[in-house]
Amino acid sequence: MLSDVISGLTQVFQPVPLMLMFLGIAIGFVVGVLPGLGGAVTLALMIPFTFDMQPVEAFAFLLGMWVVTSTTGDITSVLFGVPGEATSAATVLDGHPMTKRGEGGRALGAVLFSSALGAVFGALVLALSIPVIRPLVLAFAPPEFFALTMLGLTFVVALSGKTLLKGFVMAALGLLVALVGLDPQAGIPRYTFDQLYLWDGIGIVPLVVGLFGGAEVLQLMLSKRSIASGGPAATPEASLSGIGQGCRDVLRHWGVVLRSSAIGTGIGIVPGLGGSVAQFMAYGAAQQSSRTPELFGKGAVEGVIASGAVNNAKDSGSLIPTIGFGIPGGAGSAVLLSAFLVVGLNPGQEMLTTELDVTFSMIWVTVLANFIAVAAAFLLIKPLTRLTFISGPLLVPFLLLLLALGAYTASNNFADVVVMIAAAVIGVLCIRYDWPRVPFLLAVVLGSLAERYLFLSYSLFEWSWLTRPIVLGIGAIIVLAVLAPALRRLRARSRSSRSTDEKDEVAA
Amino acid sequence: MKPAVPLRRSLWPLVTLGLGAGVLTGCSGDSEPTAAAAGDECASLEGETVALVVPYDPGGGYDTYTRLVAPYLEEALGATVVVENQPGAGGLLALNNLLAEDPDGTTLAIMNGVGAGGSSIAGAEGASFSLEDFTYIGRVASDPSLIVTSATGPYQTFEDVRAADQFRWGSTGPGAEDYVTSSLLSAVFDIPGEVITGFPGSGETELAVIQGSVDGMSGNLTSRRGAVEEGTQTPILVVGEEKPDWVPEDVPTVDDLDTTEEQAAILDAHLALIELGRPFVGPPGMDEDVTSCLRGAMDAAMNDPELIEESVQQERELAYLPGEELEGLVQRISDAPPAYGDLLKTFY
Repeated sequence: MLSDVISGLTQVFQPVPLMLMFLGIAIGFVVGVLPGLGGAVTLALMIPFTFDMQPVEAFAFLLGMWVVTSTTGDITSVLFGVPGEATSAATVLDGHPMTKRGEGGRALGAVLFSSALGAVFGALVLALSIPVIRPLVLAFAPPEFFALTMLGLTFVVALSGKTLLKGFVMAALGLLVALVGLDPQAGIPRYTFDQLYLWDGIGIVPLVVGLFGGAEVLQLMLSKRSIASGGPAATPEASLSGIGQGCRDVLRHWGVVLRSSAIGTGIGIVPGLGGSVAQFMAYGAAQQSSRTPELFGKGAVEGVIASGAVNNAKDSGSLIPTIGFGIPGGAGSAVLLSAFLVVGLNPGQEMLTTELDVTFSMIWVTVLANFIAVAAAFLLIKPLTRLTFISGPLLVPFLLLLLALGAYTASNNFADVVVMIAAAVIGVLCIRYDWPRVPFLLAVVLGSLAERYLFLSYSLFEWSWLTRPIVLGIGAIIVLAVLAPALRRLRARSRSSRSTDEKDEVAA
Repeated sequence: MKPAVPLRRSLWPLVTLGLGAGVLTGCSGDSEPTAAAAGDECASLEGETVALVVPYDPGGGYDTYTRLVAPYLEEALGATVVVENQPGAGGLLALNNLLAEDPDGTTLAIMNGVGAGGSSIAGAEGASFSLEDFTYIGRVASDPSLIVTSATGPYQTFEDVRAADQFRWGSTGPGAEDYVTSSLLSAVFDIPGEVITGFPGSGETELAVIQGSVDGMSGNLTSRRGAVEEGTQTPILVVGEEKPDWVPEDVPTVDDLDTTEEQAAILDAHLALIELGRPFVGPPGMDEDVTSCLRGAMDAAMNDPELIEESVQQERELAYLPGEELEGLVQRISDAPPAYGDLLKTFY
């Protein structure tokens, strides 16, 4: 196995694969920065170019491109509040407020460095899982998926901030929105009002772009100032000097990096859950375990670190079922699967035995590509950060174009733009009247998955699925996750005197 | 090279004629394949942009096939060909939109024969077209299904399945190909089957088959190749007219099964629907010149040895069928006994 590890690395370092990887990284970089056009779509467009390539060359090119998109997507999220990818929405929550405070450089430093570390973590898990890859994938069936979606929903509690009730109301609204579309079991249209567009439900990409990006741009329009005008010391120079501090923040909060990477890899393995869920689970977990949860959403660097690490770890995770069984863990790996066929590789046993060196070359590419992209991003931070000091009215038309394109390119349907605008309106109202947006989005994403897997679990196993060991294990975690904050609060209250209670009120 | 183009153009009608005749007589004459074609019939398309609409997300089979053929069609047509993804409503949205497009040849779509055809025969909600509406340009690929079971499960042949007390099929949901095929087989062969619906995609259904939580599934034949060759899934029945050579000798096709006349009639209609495969279609009432121009270009593109080589390399087998023959298949489906349509209605 060790020889395969080394052979995989040397194969990547041949001139042609290396060159192709750089090309892939360059394409992925741009695609990631632009909202809408996602990694999976771009992969599909690039596959025809791999026909004449050797396996290692093809994967250097494709993987190099794909893993970079989620890294650079965070840049747009931090600077403009517009998620560069659907998987970069969580980065907006804290990254953008930091930019507004004039700490854009620090936020970027943190998100990019933690992205690179997340990629290493994911690659390590992928490499270590190779001996157990097949039993690992087989252990997960619809009941386990359902339990995971429930675990995701418990983070609504953490993500609701100080007003739990508002969080639950938003989550309930999100669950209602998740009902729109054909029901997954019987194919009956629900709340579709004779619109074929609604059959597939409300699209996640336009929703994310509108709810977070649209709302920020609308605010910027109304404020008529530059993005980074919030803080007293907000100058480009001050902002840029924070890059190093951002990197140090990552090292200081190494626990957040580890936990988020683990969540990303775990969710990545599960087919169907994907990055739009993983980011908020990691974010929620970071908030729950933070000593200053009240700062989340207002520019907490831990939130930025969590959303950076999770994205890049999840890509490696979703490669696990793809390599082990030819079953993709997400949209991007589904497209990669057709690349396997193009270059004449059969996912499955072959990738774990005779072609093990190719598998390792893929792992190396995910790590190398991320490091190169992060290095390149650091060089580009300067000009990009300066953009946030341009006055709002000049920047807004450009951002509006990005938003509309971002929503439209998801499925070439104008209705998506309408959804984006509606989501932007909801987003602005949420910000104005202080209602949390994240529980809403999380419930939209998880609601339809939870419904699907609950019914599937019952049709497959009736009630016996409740006693499956992994389901019970996840169930125990859910109980702990719900009870722990409550217990902590109870203990704190019984211990502390009245005066500290009052202090809490003020802090809240 | 350039000066040769006008000569080739003037020869184009002859080439089309020759190729057409070649196909009709059953010999695939690929003598003059990549002529840059733009005869008189194609005058209206010259310099235009032809959109090939894929009713699904990028990256899937339909998308890959369309992107594979598009450059060759562009070369043969002398017009710019762009691929556009228009996902929605399981592929019905794009076809409904196609009905309203100008029939000038600038908008075509790749159709899911079983999916879209089945919906329209069953009169399902959402399909506002009938198969006769469209103008058929030519089939890119056939789309037979393969029934597979878990390699470690109790059912290793189709006979085992017919004798089963209860057989659990995995499926994405009513109206999908896997649902229609498995329900049809259960109904025609009296298999006490239960279709478990709700899987988000064929990958997850496959996982359930391998795990043994469902007994079997129906799925796209070519996509099963890896799993069959690796031995994690057992092929038990080919639902299509032809069987590729990687499928083991003893696996029957539907035609090999013993059937009553009534069963045969229903299966025959369904096979015709499956044979429709993945064709390029245009809006209703397309101008005759434009139709024959597009059919001619399709013919040239699909017989291009370079395209064929590329498709082999990608393991995306092509199965070209000219537009005229597709019309014949549509006729065969329309002539099917009412029992077939009645049966389909129960699957949506």
